[in-house]
Amino acid sequence: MIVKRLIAVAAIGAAGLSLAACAAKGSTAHDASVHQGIVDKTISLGLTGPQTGSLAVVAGVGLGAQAYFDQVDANGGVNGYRFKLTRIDDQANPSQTVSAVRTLWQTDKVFALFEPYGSGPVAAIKQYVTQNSVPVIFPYASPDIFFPQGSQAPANAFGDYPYTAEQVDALLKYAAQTLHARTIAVLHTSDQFGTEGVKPAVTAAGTYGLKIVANIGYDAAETNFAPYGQRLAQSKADAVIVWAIPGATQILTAARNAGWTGSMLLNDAFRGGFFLQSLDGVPQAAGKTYVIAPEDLANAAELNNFRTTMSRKYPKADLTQSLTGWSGAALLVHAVDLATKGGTKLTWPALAKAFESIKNYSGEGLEDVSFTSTDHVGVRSAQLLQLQSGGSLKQVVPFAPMPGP
Amino acid sequence: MTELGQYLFSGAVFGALLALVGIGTSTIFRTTRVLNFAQGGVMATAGYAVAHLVSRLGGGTERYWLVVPIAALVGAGLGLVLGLLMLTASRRASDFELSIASLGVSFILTWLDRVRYGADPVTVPPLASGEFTVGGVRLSNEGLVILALTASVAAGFYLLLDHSRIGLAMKAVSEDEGTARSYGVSRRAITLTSWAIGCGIAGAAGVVVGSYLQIDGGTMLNISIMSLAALVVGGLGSSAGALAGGLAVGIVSTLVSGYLTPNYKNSIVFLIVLAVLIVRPQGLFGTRHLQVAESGSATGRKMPSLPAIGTWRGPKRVATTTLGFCLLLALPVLRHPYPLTTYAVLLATAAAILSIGLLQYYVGELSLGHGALVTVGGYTVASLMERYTQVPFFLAALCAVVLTAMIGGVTAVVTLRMSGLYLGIATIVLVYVVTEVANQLVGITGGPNGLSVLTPSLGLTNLDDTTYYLALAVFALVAIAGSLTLRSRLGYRVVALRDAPQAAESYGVATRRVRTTAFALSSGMAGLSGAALAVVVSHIGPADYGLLWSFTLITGAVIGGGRLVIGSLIGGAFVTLTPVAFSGLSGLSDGLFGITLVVFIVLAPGGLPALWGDMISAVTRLRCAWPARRRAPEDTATRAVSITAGDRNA
Repeated sequence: MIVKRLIAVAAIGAAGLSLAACAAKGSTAHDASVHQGIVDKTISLGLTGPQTGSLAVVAGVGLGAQAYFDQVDANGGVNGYRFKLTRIDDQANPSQTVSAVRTLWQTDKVFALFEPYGSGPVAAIKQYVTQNSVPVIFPYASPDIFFPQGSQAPANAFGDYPYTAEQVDALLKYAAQTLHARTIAVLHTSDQFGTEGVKPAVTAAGTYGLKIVANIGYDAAETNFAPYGQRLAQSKADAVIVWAIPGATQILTAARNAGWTGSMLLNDAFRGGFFLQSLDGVPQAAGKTYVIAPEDLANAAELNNFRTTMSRKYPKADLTQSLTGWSGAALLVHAVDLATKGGTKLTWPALAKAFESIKNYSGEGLEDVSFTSTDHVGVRSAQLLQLQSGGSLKQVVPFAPMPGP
Repeated sequence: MTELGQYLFSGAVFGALLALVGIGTSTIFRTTRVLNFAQGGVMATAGYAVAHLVSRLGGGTERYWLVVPIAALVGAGLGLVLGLLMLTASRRASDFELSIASLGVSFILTWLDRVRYGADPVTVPPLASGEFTVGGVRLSNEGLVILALTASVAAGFYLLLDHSRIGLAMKAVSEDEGTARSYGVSRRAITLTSWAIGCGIAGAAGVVVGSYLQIDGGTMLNISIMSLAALVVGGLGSSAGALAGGLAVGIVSTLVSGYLTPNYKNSIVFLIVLAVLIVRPQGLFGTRHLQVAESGSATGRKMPSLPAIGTWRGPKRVATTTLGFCLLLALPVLRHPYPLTTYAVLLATAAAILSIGLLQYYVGELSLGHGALVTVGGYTVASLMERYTQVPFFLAALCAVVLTAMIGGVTAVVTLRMSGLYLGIATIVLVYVVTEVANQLVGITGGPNGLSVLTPSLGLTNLDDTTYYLALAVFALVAIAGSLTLRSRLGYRVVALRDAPQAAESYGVATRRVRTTAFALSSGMAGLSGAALAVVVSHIGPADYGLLWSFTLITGAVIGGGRLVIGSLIGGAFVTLTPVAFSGLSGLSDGLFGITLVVFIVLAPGGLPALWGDMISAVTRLRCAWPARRRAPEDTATRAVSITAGDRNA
């Protein structure tokens, strides 16, 4: 009986191997052409990001972009080109992002990835997109992943989000020079996003003579916040720099309840929408909370169209996240306009050249965006906002280039 | 000293929240022996519903005297629906499977919440404001209210469950349903009451937890999982145990975060849970008679038969298997709707489902830690191939198998005294330890970023073909290993222990050795599938295959019905292709997962293969019955003629 089984296994194996050999011969390598994704002057773009799960609020990025593209298409497109955006929910899980990007590139044949979200997921797809020359437009993640400082700009990627180090530097400079802080604490999540803020904070603290008295890391899925709040209170720091999103306001509340009275320096996630609203519950937040913002949601009159459109099309979407998608879409449309003026056919090299020709672009929430052949980060300016009583934000430092560390 | 006092107070408040959730879970478990994994979902749904109702009516959620009872009513309503569902399902499914079905309900509730209330968390005002200081320790009024509320609920339920007629009835139904019925106790009424009360508490807890933290699905899920840990420490089925366990876990986790290291907090907490379970498997206040039944024969329901490798003798089976295998081999040159990588993920996931199905259906044990073993397998291959580029994939994968088999073996030895859901909860420790260690060992694991994984060269020019054939080879290896093992002496012993442990032991089957070997084998398979997944996805990170992924594997195993090869392929196809097929519809795949899981457990606990078999049998019976009826008059006439002829001959 064993012999019979072995024969059966061997027969299946042999048949399989011969077929595998045929299959291997017959298959062809995927065409990594950079010109795919434009059919009948419709540009296919793919967006990955969480639409469900704990970061589902970020789904607004895709909705904002969709709203802008719809508006452009409704007005006849740009030089005849229209936009098709395919959004895939990756729940901010890097493995799912890699699968989603492969689907977008190989099956949906998109022209480029647009605003893929999250530092962890974007780090996970870097190898694939680099190997396959997949164009990546405005990754909503740390620029250090695609555009490490001091390295040559990649041919297949353009960003619209400033370096973490520059944002942290701007916040700590303000803490030292304007708030006259002497000691600071660093509060961060222990994921990719949070840990990215720690090293620049140490560097900037050294630059501005600040002493780091506590480095508090926590899991993004944490639910027991009181001990972290107490540790912050015990540090008696003059200010805390927060490189965390979920759980940050609960920890700050716990710290306030434990008697801490310092200033709070927050990352740009808190510049509006749900995360800004969540600061309502933090005692003594008004006047002592500062948020860095590379976009202008609070004061720009030019965004009335954005607000109206979003409230009509996607009333439940988070406005701050939506603005990221909206302003990115506007910048892309501007680049497509430059690349296809005079009836030029759109290709990735043509679009890349158009991006590199953009200097001091401002509009739809973005300020002072410039690219060069060696700098593909684009956004190097930000403003600093102060939380007012009533939950609004007031500009305390106007848009200015961040010098960086 | 003040600092310690402050940590103790904060820990006690957090523990009280865990206890409040745990009392609800415990109440349901006491009567039904079903561990309700949907408590977090009920909390979130009730919390969202009440927050939206109040805001629509123009009121404020600070009117807690009104809001908490309404949330309890919403929870109780959900509990009644759940109870009816479980009563229906209990005709076919075991308590163990009903617990898994509650997981499906949790997926459905999360999806419905998202559709109905959107993605944003909801914050509600604190239960009380203000504070006072005792000996330098700040005691917030909100914390004191939570402590008082939980203590009152625990005391009330102690009186209700242990000193009232309804409590006695619950106990009677739980211990001896037949006798209880003879005394006029209705199992249906008592079961529904338990679900309504248990979920009612969860509903109220949803608002209380929401006031302290925030209302959203993720927060409620995390709280409900921590409350499970607290519950097993205190003892399932006891309100005093829920209170003690909750306070213990809350205080320990706070002290660890405050004084030791938050980086390993969950690992330390769950290791303490594991230690308690090793010393006292029924928990601090639990009683042995309330230990949950295993997934296997305790219900008397037929478990899956052994895999059909023995019937390879049949030409049909050989032909079918050969055809199936050849189709899989030829897939890269056939037309397929998704990228080849998706099918590679499917095959690697199917291998992981096979590993968990082997444990779940043949050993009769639950593991919620297989996601961690997959992660370890992935990291082993990634780090070996990154550091030593000369290491071929299959050697690195062998290392992954050995390492994960060792981890599985050690886990089996440590958890020898546990079984069923207790064992499932104990294995959660693997998930936390692996995630937290992977986050910290940046030099080896890449920290939170994880590692990119190189695609090994198998002589093929196309990377997608390479990863596909690699995943296929891994699946084939796991399937052959699993099938041959189950047809071996070890396999027969495993199944004998599952179906008739006492008889098996009396025949000299070494329980511990067999169970440990089976656990190690299943873990090694999970490690191998992790190695394949890391290469296929080209990335491995600490949170890629966490607790939710273990739940996903269990869903796949249930849909596959425990059939080793075809079942795991079906399960793998479901869990891999559903999110891809419905990626444009936000969160629908979660809902579909939940609905499918519940439907299969209620209607077809044997999974899709059994359902297919039932359908084929039904069609065959119909086909046999129809011509028989039609032929009947002819047959009678023929017989009559022959009898007449016989008579004549006579």
